[in-house]
Amino acid sequence: MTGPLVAERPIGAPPAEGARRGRFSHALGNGVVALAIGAAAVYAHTFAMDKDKLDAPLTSHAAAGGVAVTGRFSARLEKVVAARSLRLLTTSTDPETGRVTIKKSGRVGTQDVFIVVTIGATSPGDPTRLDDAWLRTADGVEYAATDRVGPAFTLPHRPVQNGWWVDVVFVFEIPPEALAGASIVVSAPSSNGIYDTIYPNRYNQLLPEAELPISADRAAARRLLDDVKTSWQLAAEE
Amino acid sequence: MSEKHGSTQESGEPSFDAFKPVARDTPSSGQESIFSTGSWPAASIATAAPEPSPVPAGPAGRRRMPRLIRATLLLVAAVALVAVTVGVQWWDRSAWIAQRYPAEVVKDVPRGQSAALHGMSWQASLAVRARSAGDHRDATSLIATVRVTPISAKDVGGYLPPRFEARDRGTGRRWQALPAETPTGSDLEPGRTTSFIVVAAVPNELKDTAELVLSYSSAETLRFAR
Repeated sequence: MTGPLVAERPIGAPPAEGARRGRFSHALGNGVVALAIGAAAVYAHTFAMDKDKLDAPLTSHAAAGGVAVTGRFSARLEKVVAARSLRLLTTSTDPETGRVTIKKSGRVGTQDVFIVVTIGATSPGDPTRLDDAWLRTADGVEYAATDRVGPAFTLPHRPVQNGWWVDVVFVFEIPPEALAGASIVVSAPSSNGIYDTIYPNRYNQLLPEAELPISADRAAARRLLDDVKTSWQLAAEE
Repeated sequence: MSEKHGSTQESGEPSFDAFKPVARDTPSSGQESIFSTGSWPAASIATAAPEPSPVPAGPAGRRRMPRLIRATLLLVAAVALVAVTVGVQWWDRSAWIAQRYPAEVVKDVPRGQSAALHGMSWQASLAVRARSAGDHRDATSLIATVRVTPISAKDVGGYLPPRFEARDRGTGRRWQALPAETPTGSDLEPGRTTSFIVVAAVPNELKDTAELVLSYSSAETLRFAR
C-alpha cells in the first residue's frame, strides 16, 4: 500500500501553476485597488467650489421682524414703507433756538414703487458700516439701492458701533410685483485695509451679510402695496 | 596546500578551470527523480510526508511580521503622514497671517504725560460732554483735546494725521473717534504745540473708563490713560 500523494517543491524549482495564478490575481487585485484610489482622488477634485461659491458671503437669515446676527454686526428691519414719490427736504437747525428751517425741497417720482427701508444695526466689537444693501426677490433677482436719493438722506456711512442701535435708511425702486417674498440684504465691507484699495473685491470672500425678509408672507406684501403712500418725506440735515 | 577545482599553476596557486569535470555522487539505480539534479537521492513520491515548517513562509519564502502589527504600523504611518501634511499647511498659513496682520504693539501714556511717535510729541486729555438734544440715549459723547508738538522741522514735513478711536481696555471693544478739525503740516511748527478736538461716542456705562487711542499702524499705537 502506498502513502498519500504529496509532492514537495524543492528550492529553486519553478512554482506550481496554482501558486503562479494566485500571485497574479493578488497583484491584479492590488492594481485595481490602486487605480480605484487614484480615480477617486482625481474625482474628488471635481468637488472644488467654483468662483461664485468661493466668493459667496456668509449669509445670516432672520425671520420677519427678527434680528440677523453675523460675526461683525446684527441687523433688524425697523420699518418698511412703499411710496409712489419721495419728497426730499434739506433742513438746517438753529443751534441756539433749535428751530428747523427747510433750506431746499425736491421731489422724485417713479412709475414703479419706492420701497423705503429702515434697518437698525449694532456691532459686537469693532465699528463697521453697512454701505451696501440689495433687495433680493423671491426668485433671486437683486436690485441695488437707488441712486436717485443722495446719501445725505439715507446716511449709509453712519458707523454701526457696539452698545447701541443706529438706523440706516435704504431706498429701492422696484416693480410692485417683485415685492412678494423679497428680502433686504445688507453687508459689511471687507476689512483688509490698504489691500482693499489695491485689489478691489479681491478679498470679498466670506463677508458677512444679513438677509431680512420684508414681509412675513405674500398677504403682508400685498397689504404693504395696498397701503402705498402717494409721497414719503426724507430729510437731510445741512 | 588545498586543491580546488582546477589545475595548480607553477607558482603553486590553484586556478579555476570551469571545464574540469567535478566528481558527484550518482544516484543509485532506481532512485532517480524528475526533481533531482542527479546529485542527491530523490525522495520517494509515494512515501515522503511533508514536515511542518517551524516558521510560516510567504509566497517568496520571506519572513513576514504578523498581520496585526503590520496593519497597526500602516495605520500609524498614515495618520502621521496626514498630521504632517495638515500641520505644514497650518504653519504656513499661520506664518502668512502673522506677517500680514502683525500683533498690535500699544504704548501706554500715563495721564497728563506725553509720548513721541512719528517725530511728534503727543498728549491728550479726555472729558465727558454734557448731553444734548440729539444724543442717543444709550451713548455718551467724549471730547478729547489732543496736543501735538513737532520735534524737528524734518518731522513737520513728513507729518501725516493719525487715526483715533476710543477703546475699552477690559473688553477690547472699539468705537470710532473723529477729529473735529485736523491740523495739516502747514499748521505745525517745530517746538510749538498745536491743539485740536477729537470726538467719540461710547456706551453710557463706559463714559468714565474708555480711553483714547492714537494709531498710525498696529505697531505704532499710543493709548492715553485717564
